[in-house]
Amino acid sequence: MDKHGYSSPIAEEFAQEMVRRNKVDRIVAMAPVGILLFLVALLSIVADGFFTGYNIQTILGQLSIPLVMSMGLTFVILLAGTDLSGEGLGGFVGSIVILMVLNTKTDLDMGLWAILIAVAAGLVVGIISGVIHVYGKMPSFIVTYAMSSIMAGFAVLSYRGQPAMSKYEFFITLSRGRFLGIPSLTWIALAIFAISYVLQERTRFGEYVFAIGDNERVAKNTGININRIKILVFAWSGLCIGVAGVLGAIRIGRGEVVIGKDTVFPAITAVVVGGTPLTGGRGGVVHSLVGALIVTIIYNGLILLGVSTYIQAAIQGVIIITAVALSVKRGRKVVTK
Amino acid sequence: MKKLFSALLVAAFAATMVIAAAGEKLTIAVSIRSMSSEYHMQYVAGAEAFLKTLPPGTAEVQVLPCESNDDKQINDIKALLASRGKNVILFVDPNNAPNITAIAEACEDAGVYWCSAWNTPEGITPFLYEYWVHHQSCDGVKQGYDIAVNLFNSFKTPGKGKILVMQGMLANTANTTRMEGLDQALKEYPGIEVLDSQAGDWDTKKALNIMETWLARYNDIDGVWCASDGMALGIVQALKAKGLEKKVGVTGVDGVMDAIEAVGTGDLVCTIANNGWMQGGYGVAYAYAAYTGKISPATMTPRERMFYTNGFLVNAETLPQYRKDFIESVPVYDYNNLDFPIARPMEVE
Repeated sequence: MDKHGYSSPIAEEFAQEMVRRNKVDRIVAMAPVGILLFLVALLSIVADGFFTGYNIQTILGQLSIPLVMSMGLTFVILLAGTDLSGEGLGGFVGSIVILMVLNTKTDLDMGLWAILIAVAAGLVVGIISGVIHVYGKMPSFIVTYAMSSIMAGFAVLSYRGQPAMSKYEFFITLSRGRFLGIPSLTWIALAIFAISYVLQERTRFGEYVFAIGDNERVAKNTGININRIKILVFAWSGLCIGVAGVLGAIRIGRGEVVIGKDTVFPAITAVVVGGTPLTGGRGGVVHSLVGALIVTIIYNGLILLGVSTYIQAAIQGVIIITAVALSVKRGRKVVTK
Repeated sequence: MKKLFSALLVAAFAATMVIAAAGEKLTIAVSIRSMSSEYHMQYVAGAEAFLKTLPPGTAEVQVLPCESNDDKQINDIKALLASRGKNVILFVDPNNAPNITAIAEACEDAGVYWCSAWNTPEGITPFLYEYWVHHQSCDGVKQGYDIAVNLFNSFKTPGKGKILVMQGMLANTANTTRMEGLDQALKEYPGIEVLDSQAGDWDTKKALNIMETWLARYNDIDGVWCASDGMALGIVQALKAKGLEKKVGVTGVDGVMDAIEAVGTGDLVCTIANNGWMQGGYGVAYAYAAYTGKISPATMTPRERMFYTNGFLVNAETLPQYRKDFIESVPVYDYNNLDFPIARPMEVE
C-alpha cells in the first residue's frame, strides 16, 4: 500500500485519540475526589466516631503536616523529580526551632526569629539539594536521600541525644488553638496551600514547571532557564519541609529528629494519589490537597476501626503502587502511537 | 644445667612481666552507643563510682562510644585489647545483638574478663565462654507489670477502669516483655477493660496521632498504658490539646529526664528508670572480681551469670527519693555484695 494513503486516516485517528484521551484525563482527574467522597461515606458508616465534629477537627489537625510537605513535593514531582530529604531535614528544622525558642535545654529564647531561621535552614538545604542535582547532574532521589541522612545526623548532634522540650507560650497556644473550629496549624497549612496555588496558577514559575515536566527539551528550546527553575523548585520544597518541621515541633512540643520520620512517604502518596503522576507534567497542588485528605482519612479511619498500624503501612503501600500503576498505564498510552 | 638455666630465664621473664603488669594501670573500658545518650552516660558514671572504691592510681575508666556503628564498636574493642593486653576489663552494651559474638571471641583470645547488658542473640550466652563473666538486662516483664499495677491503682476506683494500650515496636524484645507484664497484671485485675491496643513504634509523633484519633472515638478513658517515655510524652501532648491531662493517667518506661519532670507535674502517673548507674557499676565490678581472681566464671552459679536487674519506679511518692539519690547525687552501691543487682535469673534453655 502506498504510504501517502495513510496521511488522512492518521490525522483522523490522532484527533479521535486526543478526544478520547481528554475524556480519560477528565475522568482520571476527578477520580480522586470520587475516592475521597466514597471513603468519607464508607467510614461514616463503619467507623464509630468518624463523622463527628471532634474527629473532623482531629483529621484537619493531622492533615497539616502531610499537606505542607506535599505542597513542596508537588512541584518537584511535576518536574518528574523527587525530594526525599523531608525525613532528616524536617527532623533537623524541628529540632533546632525548639532549641532556639524558650526551652528546657538552651537559653536562646529567640521567639519568632527562631521560626524564621529554622524555615530558612530548610530553604537553604533545599537550594543546596537543587544545585547539586542540577550542576552535579545527579538524580534528585539520590541527592535528597543523602541530604536527609546528613540532616538527620545534624539533628541528633544539635541536641546531643537529649531532646529539648518547648516552653514557648506561643507554640503551646498554636498547638491547642482553633479558629472557626479549625486547628491553628491547619490554617498555616492552608496558607501554604494558597501560596502554592498562586505560584502554580498565577506565575511564570508555575507555567514553566508544567512545561519542563511535560517535555524538558521543548521547554529548553523555548528559552526557559531550566536549571534556575529546577533549583527554585527544590528551594520551595525545602521551605515547605522547613514549615512542616516547625509544625511538627509545635505539635509534639519537643525538638527531636523523629519529627521528620514517616513524613515523606505519606506526602508522596498524597501527591500521586491526588493525580500528579511520578512522570510529571500533569496534576498540581489542588490534586495534592485531595490526596493529602485521602491519606489522612485512611490513617484516621483505620485507627478508629482498630486496625494495626502495620496493616495501615501495608495499605498505604498498596495504595501508592496502585496509583503509580494507573498513572504509568496512562503514560504508556500517550507514548504509544 | 641447661634446663635449669632455661627455667630460670623463663621464670625471670615471667616475673618481669608480672612486675611490669603490676606497675601498669588497669583500664576499665565501657563500650556504649553514644556519649550523647543520657542513659549510656549513667553506665559511665556507675563505672566511675566503682573506680573510686579501688586503691587510687591503680585503674582508669575509658569510654568507647561507637555512635551506633557495629563495626566501630568491635574495632575499638579489638584495638584496645591489642594495645593493653590483659590489663583491661570491659563492660559492653552491644549496639546490636550479633555484635556480641565477635566481642566474645576477641576477649576470649585476649584473656580479658568482660560483662554485657541488654542484647544477646538467642543461644549465645556467657556459659559458652571462659572470660564472659555475666550478661544482664532490665526485667521488661516486671516493668510492664509494675507500671500497669501503678496505673490501675491510680484510678478513681482503684483497679477498675478502661484503658488504651500503646505498644512499642511489635516483635521487639523490650516491647514483647513489657506486654507480657501487662497481660499478667490484667489477669490479676479483672475490673480493667482494654478498649484498644496499637503500636506506636517508640515514636513520639506516631503516639500523638494515635492518641488524638482514640480521643475521637473513646470519651470515657481512665488511663493509657504506654510502653515508653518517648511515646508517653506524645500522648500527654494529645491530652493537653483536649484539656484532659492529669484526668487520663499515662505511664512510661525508661526514666528520661522529661518523663521524670512529667511525673513531677502529674502529667504522667509513673515511669521506670532503668538505673544505668547500677548496671554499669556492677558490670565492671563483676569483671574486676574475675580479673583479681576473687570469683571465677567457671564456678559461678547460672543466676550470677545471666540475670535481670530492677529499675527504679518513679511515681509521685517516690519522686523526691529519686531526685535525691539519682539526680542530685550519683548512687553508690556496695560493690563487694555482688548479689545485690540480681533481681531474678534469666531463663536459658
